[in-house]
Amino acid sequence: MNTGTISPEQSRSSTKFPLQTKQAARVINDKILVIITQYGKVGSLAYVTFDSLSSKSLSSFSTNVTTDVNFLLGGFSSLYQFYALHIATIIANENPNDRRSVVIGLALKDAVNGEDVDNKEIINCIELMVRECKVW
Amino acid sequence: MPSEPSAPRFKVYSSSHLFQTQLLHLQVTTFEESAFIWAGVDGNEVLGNLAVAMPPPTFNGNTLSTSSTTILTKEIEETSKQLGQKLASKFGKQFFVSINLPDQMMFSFVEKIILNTLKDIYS
Repeated sequence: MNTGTISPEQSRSSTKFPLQTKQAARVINDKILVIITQYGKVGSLAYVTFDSLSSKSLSSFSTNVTTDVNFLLGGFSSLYQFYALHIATIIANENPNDRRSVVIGLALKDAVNGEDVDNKEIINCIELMVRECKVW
Repeated sequence: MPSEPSAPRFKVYSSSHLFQTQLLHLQVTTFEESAFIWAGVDGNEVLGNLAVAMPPPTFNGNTLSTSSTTILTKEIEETSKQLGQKLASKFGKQFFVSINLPDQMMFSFVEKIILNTLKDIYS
């Protein structure tokens, strides 16, 4: 049996904020699982699927592709919906020929040491980690 | 008093086992007070039949029953859900379970391995 931590290329942590934000990505044949947590737990689970459309259709971030975000567990906030959509879009753009659905676990803090977290900084940090963590 | 978040530590325990002529893969990922268990057949590694189970709460000194539900599945099968319930009850942690095996015998075989693996992890 192999035991131990996730291999370095599959996990990232950032100490930009006072607490580490760890991310792990695990690729299975039909889906991509990404966990981004500041609590050490899976948190809310979002399921993002991609549909290819004709060029005449409206799309979100990418051309010719629409995304559908469903929350499987918790996290019915528009912020988490945005985070999930953004992460899935980054993954889709990094790997354009692969349209595997993405299951994203999010457990992020609203405030650190009594101060509200800057969401823009968080999303930039997450974006950087997702781009670095290429397991697809 | 609300609990304080602690530094996250992930650990992944992977193993492969031969059941008759089929190669099965098992992966247990542990988080803070929770774990993600995945089992599948070689060549058909999919993330399906995902269920989550919460440890049983205690109310007035009585331990209530474990709660579990399927969260991502296309079938009516409840193998993942039932296993999650058993594990949450036994180990007192949150379990995400995804069992992707074609038959019951294979599942019984993997269930024993999962239990032994978790006993080693949490001992």
